[in-house]
Amino acid sequence: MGKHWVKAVKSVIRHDLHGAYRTYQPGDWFEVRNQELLELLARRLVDTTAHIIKAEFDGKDCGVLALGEATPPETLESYGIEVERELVPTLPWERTMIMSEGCCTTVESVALGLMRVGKDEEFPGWEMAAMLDSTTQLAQDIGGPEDLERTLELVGSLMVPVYNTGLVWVRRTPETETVIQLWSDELGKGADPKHAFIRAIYCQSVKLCTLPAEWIGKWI
Amino acid sequence: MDLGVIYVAYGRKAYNEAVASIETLRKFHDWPVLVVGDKPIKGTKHKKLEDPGTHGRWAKVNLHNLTDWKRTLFIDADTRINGNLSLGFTLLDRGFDLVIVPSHPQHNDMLRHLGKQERRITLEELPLDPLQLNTGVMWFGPGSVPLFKLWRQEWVRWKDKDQGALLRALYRHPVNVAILGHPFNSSNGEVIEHKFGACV
Repeated sequence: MGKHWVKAVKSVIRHDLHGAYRTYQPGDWFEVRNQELLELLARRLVDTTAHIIKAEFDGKDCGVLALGEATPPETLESYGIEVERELVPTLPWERTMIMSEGCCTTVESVALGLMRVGKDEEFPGWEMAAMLDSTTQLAQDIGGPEDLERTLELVGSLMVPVYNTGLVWVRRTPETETVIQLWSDELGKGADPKHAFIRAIYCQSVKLCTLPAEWIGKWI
Repeated sequence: MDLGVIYVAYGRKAYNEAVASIETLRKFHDWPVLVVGDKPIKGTKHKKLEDPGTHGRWAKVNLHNLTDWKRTLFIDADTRINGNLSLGFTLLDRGFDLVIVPSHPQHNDMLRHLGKQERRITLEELPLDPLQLNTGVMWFGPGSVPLFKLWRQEWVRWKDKDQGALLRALYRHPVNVAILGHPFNSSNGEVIEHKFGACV
């Protein structure tokens, strides 16, 4: 049975099987199954996004860089998004989503992230976007002694959050080229990908849009 | 060393909290401190700014005008300092404009402290599911001035809470933001302990 993310456009009260309920205010997101989706749409309580994203997204000079055996969504072509495969991160397009092995996502999520790092005349835009790995995890909680020591030395603290490096959206600028080069060089030497990413983004300042852990857009 | 720390303290509770927080700050740093509020605190510089009943939020969205330094650390009064705070300034020196910690509520729990109308419009205006940031502890440098100007502009729309206004401003004008972990701003913070609500 299919599941869909929807956005409340009016207050929605939902009950679970035990009778507990939760109220969703306009702007909140939640996941529904097919039958509930039809009911909520009929009552005009929610909105879905897939068609809006496709209409708003401009895939010009955009692509997914699949690292190693990463498996990008099959429908990228329908959005005009190209795919290349590499062993370490690079920025082949004006806007690139770097995807690591073991990650899955949807074409809508790829597009949402690429839109997040887009810019236009009105909005100067972010240069990079990446999700936090969890709400509480810190650099001190992951990696081996060598990576921990190197991060402490370069960043100045291990009490910085860990990013999910499975999906990283980047607009090509001199600053992001430096960040990706730093990250790539370290990965080439076998560094822990998450520690290497932390070292890169805290040593080279960049307009990074930090997304919350389990960013809802990942599943849209 | 062109840097310093700002506290905002209006009313007796906030004043007492700021005194206690500055006492703990002094165990780690001898940085100059500026207190914006209705009463001076011994050993600190004082600036008066009329607060139109906003619990200090008007001062907060004007920090870029109130600061005496190139690099500034703002700390909420209801905090206790338990560790070294130099990291934020180091990151400003590396080119970051704002150093800040995420809030605990995220996703559908985010911005629920805002009025209903402000929350609804904020979620409409922002791109999907942004990261809520806790404005109780922030390091900021000269590159953040355009952001502060927009923050004030956005805050004036409802003249209420400040976190939604900051997110709207950041969307309009992204700056180099460095995110720190919860030890730097949480109720059990290893570096900065935040006694949320102690000033109210």
